[in-house]
Amino acid sequence: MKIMKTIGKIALLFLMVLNASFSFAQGCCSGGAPLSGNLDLASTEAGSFSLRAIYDYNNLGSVVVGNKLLNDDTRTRLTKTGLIRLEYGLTKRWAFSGLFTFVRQAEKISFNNISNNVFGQGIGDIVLMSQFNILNNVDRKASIGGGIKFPTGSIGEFNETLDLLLPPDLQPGTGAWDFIAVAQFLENNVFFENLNLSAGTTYRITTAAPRFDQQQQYKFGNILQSFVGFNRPIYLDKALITPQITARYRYAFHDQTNGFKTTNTGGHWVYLIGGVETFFNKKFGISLTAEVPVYWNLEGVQLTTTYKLIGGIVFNFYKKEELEFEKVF
Amino acid sequence: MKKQYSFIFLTLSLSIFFFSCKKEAPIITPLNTTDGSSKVIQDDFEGTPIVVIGNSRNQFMIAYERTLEDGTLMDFTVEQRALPIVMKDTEGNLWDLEGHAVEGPRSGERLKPLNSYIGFWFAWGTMFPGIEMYDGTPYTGNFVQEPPSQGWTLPKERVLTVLGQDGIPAIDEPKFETFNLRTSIDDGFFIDDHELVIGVTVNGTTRIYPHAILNWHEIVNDRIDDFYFSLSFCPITGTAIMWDRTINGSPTTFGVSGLLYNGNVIPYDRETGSRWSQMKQSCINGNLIGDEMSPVQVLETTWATWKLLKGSPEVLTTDTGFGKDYTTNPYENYIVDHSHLSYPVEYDDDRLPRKERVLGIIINGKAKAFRFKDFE
Repeated sequence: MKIMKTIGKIALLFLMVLNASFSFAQGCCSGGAPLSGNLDLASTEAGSFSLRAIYDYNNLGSVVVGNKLLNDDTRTRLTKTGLIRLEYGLTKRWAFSGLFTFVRQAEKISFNNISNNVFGQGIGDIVLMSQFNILNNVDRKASIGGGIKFPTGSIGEFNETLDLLLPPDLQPGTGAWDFIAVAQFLENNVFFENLNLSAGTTYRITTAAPRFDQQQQYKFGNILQSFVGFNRPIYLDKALITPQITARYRYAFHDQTNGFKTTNTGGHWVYLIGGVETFFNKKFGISLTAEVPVYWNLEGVQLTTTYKLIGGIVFNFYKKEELEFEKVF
Repeated sequence: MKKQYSFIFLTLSLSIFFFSCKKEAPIITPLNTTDGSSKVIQDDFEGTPIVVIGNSRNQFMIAYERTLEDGTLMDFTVEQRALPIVMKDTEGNLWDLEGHAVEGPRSGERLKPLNSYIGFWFAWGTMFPGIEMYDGTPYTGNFVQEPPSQGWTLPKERVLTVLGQDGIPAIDEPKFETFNLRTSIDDGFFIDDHELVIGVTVNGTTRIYPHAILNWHEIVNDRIDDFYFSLSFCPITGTAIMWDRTINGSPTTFGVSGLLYNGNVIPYDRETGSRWSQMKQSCINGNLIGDEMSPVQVLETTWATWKLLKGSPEVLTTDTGFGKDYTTNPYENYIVDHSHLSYPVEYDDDRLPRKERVLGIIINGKAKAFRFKDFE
């Protein structure tokens, strides 16, 4: 019965995702720090604090028209981001997190066997989130949360050679305030013992920001994301190794220029994410994740992610002993 | 309890989903494609007698000086025959669309092409503020030009970087296919009749450059015999200009700098790295600052019209060496949506819809605009 219920939940989630993919119009991406994969809710328990240092390497080298990948290698963008994520569990119900970024946006153009590289870098936008755990017990957790992305990143970086503003997609910030809503669900021991399910939906409402030295108002499209993932912790030689696999659906509405639709923006993406997290003791762990798009259906022509690598280290600080870890270590 | 929490979670997710379901309908205005035959307009601009031939249905407008090399001032009237013949004069000569006398006592002579090209109205309005209109619509704006920045011939703050240099790759080794009406029917030639193309004839060779390809490359560095030229097309301003690419006595190539001025492409030359304004037809920054281009007149019209003008033109092929999808227009409905611009401009002249295609004639640095409606 339990398995049937779990299957039912997963089916509903997928239906929700599929429904979204067929109902929307258009959408898209780019600019500032890549926050898409880093807006999930905190996992810290009451009274504990964690610090995650994350390195996010995003290779955008795929030129896509609709759902067709072009054999076009003229232009590649590399976004390298260092993120610090702080999480604090205030009570069993309430937790807070903050995401601080440093971004390096580089563009490589290959033409006639000559490469032209331009980059912009600096402190990116900051995200502060709060969450409320509707349910929080050993086997199950359901949370909702909300947050704000503050436009702390610079949008005024210059190309020193030309003494001209860098293009907006090479600026470390977006200049825009965003508002984020998250709902997330975790359940342990689904299907069989030690297989854990996580699923969630994030919706990001963006606002317009000035571009080109105030000459234009540009608004990135709102973004809806849903994910379903499984992980299975394995205790191996005094380390807790947790392989995980996740499918993430992303829908971006089209961007707007001065209130009007911007061409070649928006669309649907499905990513497959594989990773492993290893805790060597209850206070320290590392993680490595690789993400590849497995499906696109984009508006017009877009340069989009070819692959993404994310590495991180985690430090947990406990105010009191945490029973779950005691069981393992 | 379990069911309750799952229900809450799903309800929240669905709420977010429904909240995000907002659609916007694009505003599309059709191109001006009213039926009608060619018309000839004789006019005077900056003291120069000119003749402009236009056809709204076939989507062409082209302008010449009315004074021949020997100083004779000609009077033209439209000649309603099959293309390429479009007008006759009082001496009994028949003239074709490319300005050649094809019958009559002056057969073989050619009218002097005017520095003119078609572009979106907004581009003409901002690059030549206060541009005169043939239909007499007065300019009532009070635009004041900002002073140029040091090292530039224009205000640098108005130059926008939208891509890295060569982010839009120019075609340096263009390949052509000779069109043949008979075989093309079987082969399913890749251009549709209604598509706009740029055409030019040099030393008897006619070359056609489809918008469908130029949208992705913006510049073609080409040559016919010993004449080396660059043809550039800016999809944002809808302007096509061709010029001699000889610099300091030897041919060079031009690339796309990734910069825009009033939305208009800024090519750079690979000899000196200097940057040039396509519509201003001059070097705006770099070693060659202040130098002028040597423009060559092109004829922009539909592929169907060009087929009527020339039997076997050479057409730029999609074998460009780049993995682009030439069946897709990366600018979507931009060219027919008058509601907004992709990039800011210094002056937004509201006398006409922004994306209306007009022919601008430039004499003594001043411009005059002709609309397709003027030829209906």
